[in-house]
Amino acid sequence: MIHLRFARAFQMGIKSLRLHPLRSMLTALSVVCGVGAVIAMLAIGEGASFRAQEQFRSLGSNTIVIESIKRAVTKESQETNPIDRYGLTRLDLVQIHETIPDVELSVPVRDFRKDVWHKSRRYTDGKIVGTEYFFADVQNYKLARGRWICATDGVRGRLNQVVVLGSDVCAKLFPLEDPLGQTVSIGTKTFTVVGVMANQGGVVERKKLNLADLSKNVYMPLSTLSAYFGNIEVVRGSGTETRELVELKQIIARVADLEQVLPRAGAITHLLEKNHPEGDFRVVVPLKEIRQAQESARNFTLLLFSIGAVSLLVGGIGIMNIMLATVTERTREIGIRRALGARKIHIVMQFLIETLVLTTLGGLIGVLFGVCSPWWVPVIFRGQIAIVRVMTIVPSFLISAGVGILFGLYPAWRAANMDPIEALRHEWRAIEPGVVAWASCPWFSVTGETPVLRIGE
Amino acid sequence: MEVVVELVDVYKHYLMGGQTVRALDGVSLQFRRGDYYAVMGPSGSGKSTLLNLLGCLDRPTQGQYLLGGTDVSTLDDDQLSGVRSSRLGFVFQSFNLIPQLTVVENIEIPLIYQGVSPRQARARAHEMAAMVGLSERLEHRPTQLSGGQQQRVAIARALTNDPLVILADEPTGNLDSVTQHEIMDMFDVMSRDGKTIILVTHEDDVAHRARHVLHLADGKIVRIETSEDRRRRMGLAGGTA
Repeated sequence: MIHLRFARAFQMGIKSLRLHPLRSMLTALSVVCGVGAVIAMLAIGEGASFRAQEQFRSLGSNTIVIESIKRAVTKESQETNPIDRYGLTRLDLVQIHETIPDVELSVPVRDFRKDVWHKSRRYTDGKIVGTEYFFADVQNYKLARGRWICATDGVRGRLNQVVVLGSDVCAKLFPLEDPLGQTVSIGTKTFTVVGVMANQGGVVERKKLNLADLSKNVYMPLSTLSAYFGNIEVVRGSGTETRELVELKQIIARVADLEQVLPRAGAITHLLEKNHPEGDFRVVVPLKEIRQAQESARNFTLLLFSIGAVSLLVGGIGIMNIMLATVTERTREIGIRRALGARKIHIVMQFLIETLVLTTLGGLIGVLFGVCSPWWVPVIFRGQIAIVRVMTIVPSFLISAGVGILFGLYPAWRAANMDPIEALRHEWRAIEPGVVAWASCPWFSVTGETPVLRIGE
Repeated sequence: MEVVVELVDVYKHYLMGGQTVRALDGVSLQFRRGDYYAVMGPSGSGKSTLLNLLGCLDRPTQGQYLLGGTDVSTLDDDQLSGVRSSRLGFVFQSFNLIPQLTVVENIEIPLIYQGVSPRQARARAHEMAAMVGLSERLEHRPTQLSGGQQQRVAIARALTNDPLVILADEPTGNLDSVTQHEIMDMFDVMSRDGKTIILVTHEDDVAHRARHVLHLADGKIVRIETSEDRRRRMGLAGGTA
């Protein structure tokens, strides 16, 4: 039975702590640093993880990109077959779409290098990309102005000569004027610009995955591309000229269920391996990269959390040290309390509550400090962002209280287990006895009646 | 009068440096309600040990201690704490007030540990402080009081739980002679009001106030004399009140 009420004990704890304000403050500071560090470190880890995910997410986390790759061409084969035919086919596209479950969209892409002209300006870095309506959707690619190619653009018989420009192409060809409604020339053909794409993030990440930079592309319906430019691409190197026939350069598949992305990618690989035993394709899964980024971010967070936890531990040890000193210093008080009827549990509670008051106050300030980390972290660590999750705050605070209990328990236990007789004998600062004028002994009856004060009797 | 304290053949042995010290060696005694005993004896005679035993701070090696009819020699630590807070009052030589607490907070400590509600404890502490004439200094800290005032706070604290027995260990040892008399007057009043008082002292004029003086030597009761015996022996018959 613990009679001592908590609120009262809390009050007493604060009172005792206020006897040594500097000592109490320094002790609490160790918890402030510990808890603050834990929250801030978790926030920095969270920030890093968020950034990594955000970057890869722009690639589309639920997409699978299948690309044609050129296999090694032997001289013989080149002689026997002047046109190098490799890569993905429309058959693959249909098979993927029809046989792989959960694939909600599959978009064909065909591209080739060709200069794009507007009046006297020339853009040489780009690619002409023929694709279908859902390309932008699947790639999470946003329009800046105008419109995207639409379903009717590619309808046979009314092949609209329209293009949509990537942001880089647009910036180079139309540095000043409004591109919409203007024309560009590709080869001998002229096309009307109907839209301009927005800048898409994740350029670095795309490069990492060996995917082309979307901003350097000029988009048109796949049927238009085939109709005007044919299926054979002539690649001119230094002193060589090869002719390539690649039906589809890319197939982008979107999987409905995020959880199914990796297994479906495996299934697609399996399917294509049968169609292409020579292995002239590759499967890129951005999700895999996102997962990897998450994984490394998690490790980073764990590392940072460990650092925070160590500082909290050090704070806890400091608290234990101080409390042990306090217990020794207050041995006499413990003896008095025991003599006057305090049970061991009362003494344990008294010191434990004192420690708890210290650590929870320190913890609260530490939480404030940590919660403010999104503001101060970018100032101290350039380019680093911090994101505080609400679910880290409460546990951190509870951990600080836990540290108080953990490291306060031993000193409190020591205090409670002192021999009261020994404790009473313990020296403390001598209190000088004084003299006081005193008329008489006021006293009272002990029979339980109303006490009567009788001064001057 | 009923017997409030009874020791039956009590032994207390310590092991010190490999040697057994017989601090108490077969002590039997009875104190009745309202008894006022002074315990005297040379140092090492077992006074402190006896007081610690009577104060339930220690348990006898052998023998029985009946306090108010219950055998407390077999109680565990928590139960002894309960006995201390409800049935005993302590007055120490060095007052033993807790420095960070105010007068009124010091007085209410035994009540708090007894589980009395804070409001009742506070009210009772106020009464007690008034009784010892310190109602003007309720919020003072012990260090702001004179020695005599501190001892009065200690007495108020000892009486706050309306104990069966008051145990005093050289209560005037740290006081000058004027204050000493005032404090001893308070003990007289307590005795008159029916409290059982056991007071350890080595000063004759303090012991002289008690109705009985118990002499200890080598852990044994040498003799118990009444104040009349004492006066006769010291040739002071008909002396001080």
